[in-house]
Amino acid sequence: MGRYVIRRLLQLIPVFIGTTFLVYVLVWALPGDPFAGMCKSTCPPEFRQAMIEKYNLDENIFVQYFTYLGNLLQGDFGTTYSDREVGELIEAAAPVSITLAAIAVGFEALIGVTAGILTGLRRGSFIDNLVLVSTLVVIAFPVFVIAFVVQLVLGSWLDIIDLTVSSDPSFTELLAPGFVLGSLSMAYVARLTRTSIAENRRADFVRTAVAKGLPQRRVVGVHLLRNSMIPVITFLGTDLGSLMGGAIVTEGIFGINGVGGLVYSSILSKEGTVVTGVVVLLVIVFLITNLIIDLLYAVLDPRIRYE
Amino acid sequence: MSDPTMAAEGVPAGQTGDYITAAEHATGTKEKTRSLWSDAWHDLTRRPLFVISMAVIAFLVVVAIFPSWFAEENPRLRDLDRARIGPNVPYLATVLAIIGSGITVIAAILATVGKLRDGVSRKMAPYVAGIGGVLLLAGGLINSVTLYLVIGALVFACGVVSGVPKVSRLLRGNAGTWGVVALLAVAGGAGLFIALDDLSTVEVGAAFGYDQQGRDIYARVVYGTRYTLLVGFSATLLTVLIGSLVGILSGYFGGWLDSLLSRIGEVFFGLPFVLGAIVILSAFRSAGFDSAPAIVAMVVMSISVLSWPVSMRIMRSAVIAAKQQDYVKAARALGASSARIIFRHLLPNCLAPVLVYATIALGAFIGAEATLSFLGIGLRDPAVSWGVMIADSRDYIRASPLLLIFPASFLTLTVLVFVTIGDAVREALDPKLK
Repeated sequence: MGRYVIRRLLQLIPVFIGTTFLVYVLVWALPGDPFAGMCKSTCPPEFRQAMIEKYNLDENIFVQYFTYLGNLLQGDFGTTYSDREVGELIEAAAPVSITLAAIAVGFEALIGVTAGILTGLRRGSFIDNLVLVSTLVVIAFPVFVIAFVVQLVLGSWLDIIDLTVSSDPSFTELLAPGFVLGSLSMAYVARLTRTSIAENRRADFVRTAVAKGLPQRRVVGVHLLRNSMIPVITFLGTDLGSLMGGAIVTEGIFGINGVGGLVYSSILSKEGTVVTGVVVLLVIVFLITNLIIDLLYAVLDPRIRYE
Repeated sequence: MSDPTMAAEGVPAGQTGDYITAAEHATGTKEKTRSLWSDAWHDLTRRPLFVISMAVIAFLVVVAIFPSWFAEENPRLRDLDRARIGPNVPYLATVLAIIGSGITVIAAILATVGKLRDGVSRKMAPYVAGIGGVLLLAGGLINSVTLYLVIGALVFACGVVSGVPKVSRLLRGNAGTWGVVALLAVAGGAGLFIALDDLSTVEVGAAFGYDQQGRDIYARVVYGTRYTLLVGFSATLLTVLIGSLVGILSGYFGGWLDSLLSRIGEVFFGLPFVLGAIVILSAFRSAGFDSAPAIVAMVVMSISVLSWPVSMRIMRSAVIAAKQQDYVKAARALGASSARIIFRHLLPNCLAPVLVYATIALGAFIGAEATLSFLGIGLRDPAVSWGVMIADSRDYIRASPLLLIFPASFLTLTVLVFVTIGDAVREALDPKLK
């Protein structure tokens, strides 16, 4: 187990360097003036020179990247053009985004898995068809349309929620945005659970459990469910990682000051250090969640052993 | 191509269904053996939802290629005098009724054909009647025309009666079914007659109203079809091409090439989709790609660059599984080159899972284009797309939600149709689900 974890961690390194280097090149090395629009007409040469030195732009791209990476490993995310610590900016924005992603994944797990179990156990029934059709419809709605519809119906017409959340949103305020954020994956989770349950229902271990005379509740709850959850947990874990950064649209519509909003505004204002900093963090989150999911497999399915 | 699937085929439905096992009786019928593909096609053309979705897509493609047939107004013509004027409700209602009646007539024809010759048209008729009925009802509701409502309810009821098994059993024998067909034909004809008569009394034009800059929303929806479909199709094609090529290479050759290509795939897979697309698009925009074709190409590129690892993984695992099969070993023993094995033996046998992914991805990519346009970094003026229209409407949704609802419903309908097809293709091609 320990050796497996170490091997996986070592495999993460090239992927981590590749992804972050890719983003670094896209942000810093493409043709175009990174300081365009910072000064009123044209920037004075001294200012340009200072900026170029501050961000090592006169070095070649590899030196720049590894200098950045070296600073990063010491916990230094760099500063923005207006001398604010990028680390502090991220620290301020992260909690809201994490709460939002957790709420979204919570909705996915709760509604998606329940719907999946109900339909997987009764394939071909009315509720099965109903869930299949409604998941298709949900998948067809782009997230911003769902967000607008929720805003319009719950916010404008029914007046249950505020159109946008406050600057320091509470848990209940984030419920509606979290639901919107998780809606698409909810449909996927429902379908995934349904397929997985329907497949495993014919498995030998389920037949054995039934033959042993176990009550239905135990067959489904322990034997069937635990073995059917592997693909679902993979999906939920990957989703948690991608939702933290992928919430740009939802955060924008509901006015949440999270990581998504931070990175979006930084891309528009060409704040390269913020963009690379956030992407680096997200990639780390993504890679680590994938590793944890792989390790969870062994807990769920005793047939899987990591030597 | 046909041999490996022989065992899984079983008895062709309807023809030799009396036999339990096909093998010993196969010589008795002159039925051609069917490959996985013709088997799947046979299965697909028997699914009413698939056929209806294909018809909708065919229609959308015609709209995308010849938008001027469907909208006379220039989609870019601004006139602030008519900014945010609501839809022309009487005209919209009449047009909906005409389309609904036309569809009802088609349903009647389908039901007749289905009654005479058993086939998919009989299964389709209830769905088509349902759609026609809903359109008529919608036309009646928005303008409170009682006649449309009555005809619509009648047509919808016909659809339900003939479509729901428990109810359709009540229509005993031929008389009942022919009665429903006749009812549909009469209702459709009457609806067509009344609505066409109404058309001469209403003012024509601007069915969906005007947007905040006084542009015709209907014309923009029609012209938006082109870019929306163009981006969806090209992004899917590019994704599948890159992914399959890399997947085949890494699955077939294995070893260090596999490790290298897989790691490269993981690099792109590790980037969150929306974030990665924004970074790529804004980077290349500041690098000065600014004409309309260049923007479309950039959007397609950024979608494909971030999605190809998925199709690569699918292709790679299919190739690794197929590489062990006897027919590949036989081909190699006969001295076939790697290129021949890949293109003649592996590719046709590994295409199915990638194709399934492609049909589902097509819908997702159309949604992705809209999301990027919505964020202001995808398509933008002068290119018209549904995403651009939704983005334009975002500041006005409380005052005039219709600005959002028209493009959003067409977008949703299109994605829904593609996802439905993807679902049907998956069920037809995936042996596990049979």
